[in-house]
Amino acid sequence: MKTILRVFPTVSLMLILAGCGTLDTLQGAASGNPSDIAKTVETGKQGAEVGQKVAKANEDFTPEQEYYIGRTVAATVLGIYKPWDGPKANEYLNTLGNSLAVFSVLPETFKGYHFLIMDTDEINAFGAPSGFVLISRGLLRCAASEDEVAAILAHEIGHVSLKHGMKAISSSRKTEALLEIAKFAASSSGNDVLSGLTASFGGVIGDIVKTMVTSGYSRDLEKAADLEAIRILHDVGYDPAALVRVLKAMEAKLKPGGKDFAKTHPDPEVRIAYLNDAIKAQSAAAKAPAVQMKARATRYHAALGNI
Amino acid sequence: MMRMRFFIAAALLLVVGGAFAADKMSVTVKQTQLRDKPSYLGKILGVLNYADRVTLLDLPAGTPKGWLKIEGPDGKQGFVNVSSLTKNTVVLAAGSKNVESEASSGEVVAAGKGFNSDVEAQYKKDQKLDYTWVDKMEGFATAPEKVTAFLTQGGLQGGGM
Repeated sequence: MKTILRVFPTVSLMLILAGCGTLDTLQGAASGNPSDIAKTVETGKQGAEVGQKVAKANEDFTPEQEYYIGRTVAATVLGIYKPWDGPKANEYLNTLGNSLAVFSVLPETFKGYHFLIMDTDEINAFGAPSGFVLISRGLLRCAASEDEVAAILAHEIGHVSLKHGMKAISSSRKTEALLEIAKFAASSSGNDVLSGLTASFGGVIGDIVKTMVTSGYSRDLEKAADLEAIRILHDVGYDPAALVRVLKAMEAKLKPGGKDFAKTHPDPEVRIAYLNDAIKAQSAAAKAPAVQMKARATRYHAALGNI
Repeated sequence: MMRMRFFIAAALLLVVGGAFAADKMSVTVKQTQLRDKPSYLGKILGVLNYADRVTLLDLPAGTPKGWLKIEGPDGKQGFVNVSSLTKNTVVLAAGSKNVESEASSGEVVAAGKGFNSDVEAQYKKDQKLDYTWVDKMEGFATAPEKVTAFLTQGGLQGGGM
């Protein structure tokens, strides 16, 4: 009897999740649209009523679950690229990055945005779910001002806020993982389903890391991150054309056939063409007074002058 | 006739119930700030924690997209960004707001029951992953006041906040 009672909610959850509308909801919720953010968690007490509420809770990953995914994606990338222990530079990136993130379509993640420099000459950057952003020293060297560093960070914030990392999870993997989560939620202790859940977690991490590090996002997603970056730069008050300048610097430094940005990103020339069109369409922003431009230059050189 | 009345009453209950349900939202991030204006430059009036239930208030004319006016559990009113809220209910174990301890002890009914610190610990062990620098990254906390000062110093207050 006990076994039947334990199995019943699980089977019910699987049926509910596999049933009408679930996949549509999953795809919709993964869109990165801010309105979808308000669709995350619902649950109730464990017991007889748990089925419906938990099923609804597991229509998509919650911000808390995205946070654990983001942590592990970042840990995996940091197993490939060593971190750079430059306290002043990392602190500056975090202040600058958070100043940009509040202008994004996802200003708040479960525990906020965090930025770290990777100690490599490769030109590379990764925006992992929930706001774990990793930037290489090689890429930071392509920037010559605070506006240009802001352009690099804004592009990665674009990937995070539009949930491109989460979109890299295959739909079958996502359905499987959400079923495991539903089983976990219906389980009295959780211990009996931990191994299945951990295996699903590993699959999710694998999908994201493979896309971010090896194959790269689609051209459409890269363009979306670029366009979101120039919108953020414009709204904050930075020069959106700074992104074009960084791409030109990257183009001059990228090695053909390299395993960095050259492999995972569209040709800088293509990006520069559509960015120039989009920048022309933006309203002109007033330039900050000289004293404040000087303040930007001073803090940029103090933090990243020797990167 | 009786049956008709019953259906009308039931339908009304559903509509009214739905309207009341829509008036409440829950905090879905670990912590967020309640502000006096719909802007990250607004003065911080208080903090809201994960799973706090808030009541939606009428939006004043001209409120920018992405901001809501709410009343928190302590009765304070102000603005929060929609990215920190969910229209659904988040239930933590009674009497606690400590997400990590609840998640790891498995006491959170929904919030901690999925990919959580237990799953991370198991995966870390299986894959021999090192989270030292991820934890350090999280230590790079940027206080909201620091962001405001940074923007102001650089002449970057922007129009979108």
